[in-house]
Amino acid sequence: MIRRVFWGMTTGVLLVLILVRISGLVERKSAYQKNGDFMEQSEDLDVLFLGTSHVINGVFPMELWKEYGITSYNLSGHAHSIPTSYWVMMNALDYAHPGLVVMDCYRLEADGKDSKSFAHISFDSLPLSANKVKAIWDLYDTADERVEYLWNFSLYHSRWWDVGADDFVPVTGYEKGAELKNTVVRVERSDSTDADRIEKRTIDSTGTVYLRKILEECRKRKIEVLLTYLPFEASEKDWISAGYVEEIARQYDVGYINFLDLNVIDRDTDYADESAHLNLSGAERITRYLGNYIQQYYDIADHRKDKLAEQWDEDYREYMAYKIQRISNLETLQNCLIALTDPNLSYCIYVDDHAGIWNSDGFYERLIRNLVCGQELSKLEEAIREGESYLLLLDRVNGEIVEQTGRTDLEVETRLRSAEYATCQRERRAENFVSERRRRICWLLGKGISCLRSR
Amino acid sequence: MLFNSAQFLIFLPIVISIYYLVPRRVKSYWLLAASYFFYMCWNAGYIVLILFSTIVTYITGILIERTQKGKKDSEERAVFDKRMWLTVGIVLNLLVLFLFKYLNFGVEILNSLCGRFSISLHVPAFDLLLPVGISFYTFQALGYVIDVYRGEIHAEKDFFQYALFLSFFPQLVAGPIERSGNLLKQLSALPDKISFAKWKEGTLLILWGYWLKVVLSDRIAIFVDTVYGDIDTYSGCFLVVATMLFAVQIYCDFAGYSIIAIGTARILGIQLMENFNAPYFAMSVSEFWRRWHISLSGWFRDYLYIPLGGNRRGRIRKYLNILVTFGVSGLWHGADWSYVVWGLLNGSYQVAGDLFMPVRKWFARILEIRTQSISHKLLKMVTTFLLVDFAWIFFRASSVREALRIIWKMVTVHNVWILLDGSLYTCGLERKNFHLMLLCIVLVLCADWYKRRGIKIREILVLQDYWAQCLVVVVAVMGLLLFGIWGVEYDASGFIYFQF
Repeated sequence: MIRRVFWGMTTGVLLVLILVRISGLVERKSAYQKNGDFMEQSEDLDVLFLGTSHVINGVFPMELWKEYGITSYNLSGHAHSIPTSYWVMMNALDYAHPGLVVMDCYRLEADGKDSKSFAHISFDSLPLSANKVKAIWDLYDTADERVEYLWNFSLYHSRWWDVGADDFVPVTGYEKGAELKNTVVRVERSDSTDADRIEKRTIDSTGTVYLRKILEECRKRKIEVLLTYLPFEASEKDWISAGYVEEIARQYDVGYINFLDLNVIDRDTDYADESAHLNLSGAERITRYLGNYIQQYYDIADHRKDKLAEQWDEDYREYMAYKIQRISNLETLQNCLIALTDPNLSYCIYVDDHAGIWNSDGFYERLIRNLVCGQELSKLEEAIREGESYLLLLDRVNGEIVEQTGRTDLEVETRLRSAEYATCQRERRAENFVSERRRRICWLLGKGISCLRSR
Repeated sequence: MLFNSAQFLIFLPIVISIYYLVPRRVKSYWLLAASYFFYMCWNAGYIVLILFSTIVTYITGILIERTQKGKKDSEERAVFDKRMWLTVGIVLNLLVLFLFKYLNFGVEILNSLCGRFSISLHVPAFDLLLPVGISFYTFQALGYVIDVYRGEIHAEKDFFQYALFLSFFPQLVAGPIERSGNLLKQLSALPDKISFAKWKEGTLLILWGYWLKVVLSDRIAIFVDTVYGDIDTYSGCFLVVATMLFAVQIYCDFAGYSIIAIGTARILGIQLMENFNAPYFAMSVSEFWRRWHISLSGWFRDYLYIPLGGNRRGRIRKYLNILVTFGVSGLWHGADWSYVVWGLLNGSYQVAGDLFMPVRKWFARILEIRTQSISHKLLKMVTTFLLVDFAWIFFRASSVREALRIIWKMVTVHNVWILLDGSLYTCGLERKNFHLMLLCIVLVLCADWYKRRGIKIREILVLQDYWAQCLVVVVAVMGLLLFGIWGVEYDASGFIYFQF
């Protein structure tokens, strides 16, 4: 009898142990790649960002760290409903104690609670807790859906055939929850651009109910709230929602930035896809705007010289290495030009007179002008007009912009070294060096970019 | 509730736990309550039908037995009365079965005949939901009444005992169709204490049943459904492979259910009859039907084929009896001409086999074929499989027309290269899943091969040391959880035979 009980219990324990291990293996790692280090650094965070994919692609915590010393995390999720954002916040507040929550209010008018399977990216990495159970119970109605989130082995067990090295040694992301996009797409403009013509209307929806819950919970915990409506090609109903958010912000006496009504981004160059998510260029602008706003209106500490600096500087170095590595894999000219909007990169671009890129309705011209954020490029127009080759050297360290047209040699002093640029035989593959403050090298590939030798 | 559902996994331990906690005199009532609850989970209204069948056959059983034998004319009267009560019991039960299962089929035939003879009559179809398991418990009830009539058993006086016999939940909705002599006797002497050996054996059976259903049958179903769902895209060899896999699918599905039922009953101390015995290792179609759905085949043999005369009324009558039996068997499976054709096809195989037996023996003698050699036996097994598998096309297709279309597409489209160029991985199962399916098929074939030779693997397993048994259980359970077709991405597919 004792032997039977012993072996019975052994079987049970063995089953549980193996099940736990295998569950971890087959589980999809997207949540850990996105929010992997949230749990480790939750105590250090001063700002949390919530919302949809607009925020994922539009706000970069690592840039906020670098420019403003703000410790933040991007906890937004693709297709997140406002109820989902509420519960993400509630779970996050079990571990973090921020001074400010920035909530993007896209989908305020929606009545649905769940975010379909996208909520896995926020909930999978959270340990089982009372708030997690409450979240899943509130967001999902059927037993199947609840089990899917509370015991995600029921969903992921069929991934057994797809398990790879990343599942054994999961890789945490470097972007603190953000996802940068290096693509650029021209999106059809929305007709609803005149905010004054949009009627102000009260919105009675599940989104509104949960937004108020967010505000009340933050008020109870003495956390400041900043509401936003990040830019995209908004329809009339989005403008109405954005207008009602203003009303709610006034009721609760919290800050509100309606980016739909501000000209922060360049709608020709800052969208990454047809859904008008922001690319690196647009996100840099939004992040900078938010950083300035937070610095100006909220009492959020600059940690660049305190005990957090060492870890967060290290994280930033890894983040930059990741960005450089991504840039080196880019293949199209437009994507390269978007990637180069990164304010940390210095580089040289050469456009051959036979490149043929000036024919495409001024798009590439806009992308190149976008690199210097409105600064004058006096020789660019000449090159386009005369059909000549064009060289642009951007040294962000010294703050210098050097331009040259035509096929003449150039000698210039840069932060890294002296460089001589001599024309050579036309080659399809670009061979240039991009330097940044920490002497990293990356490759540029793209149509129209010709070979230069540095000697 | 399905066996492969979370509800059943919660229901079963509760039923078993309370079963062994309550006193012996209460056990049968507890099982009855659990069985009715199990049945009502499908649809609460179904209880009326099973109660009707229970009451009718309970009463007719008692009335048949009470019919007295007295004087000569009383004896004739007694025989008449016995036959009358038997007829009442059979007719009333079959009436319910006909109403719910065959009425629309009958109406369709009637409308078709009227149309053919230009008679203007249109009988409307009725939208009646087919109660799950009705064919199974109806036949079980009929078997009881006939057994009482034949004097093989005494009529059950305890109504609740009889109700439990008819509604015993492990075998209620998809068999095995138990004989009253076997099950009623056991239900009246339920064990008081849990037997560890039976508990272990039952658990192993349940695990094996789940493997067959959840890992293999449901995995094959993905492939088969993809191919059969679009025969214009997946024709030729795709259909050949899918049809062969369907043979395995339906076996694993049905055998899996039966094994789970047998295992569950074993834990409760009840021995249900075996329903499958390595059918695809049969060397003739008649042997196949002695190994496939044994409870139903046995039922038709004892209650239809033999009463029709069996093989004792001459050869022509024997062949007719076989065709009638298998035609009715086909109809039992479904109210559609495709099932009738399937049944008749299986019957025809046996008739043809019997007819050409002398020719085959003559050829074997002339060509000096070694009929006892392994190669010859293998040839017979493969031939039997192919014949049975061909008939499965009619079973799987939604109509005779579709079945003929499938056969046409199989025969006229030549694309044997799909077996080698990776096309098979585009039919719903990617490469690793497809290979796992093949590996599991080999596993099942090995298990069945041993079973055919009289070796039961679980009996070997229980003789091993505890650590080995522990390892096997852990691997089996983890394999089920990891490789099983369950969870939120899949609909828990019902067992194929539930529709009957």
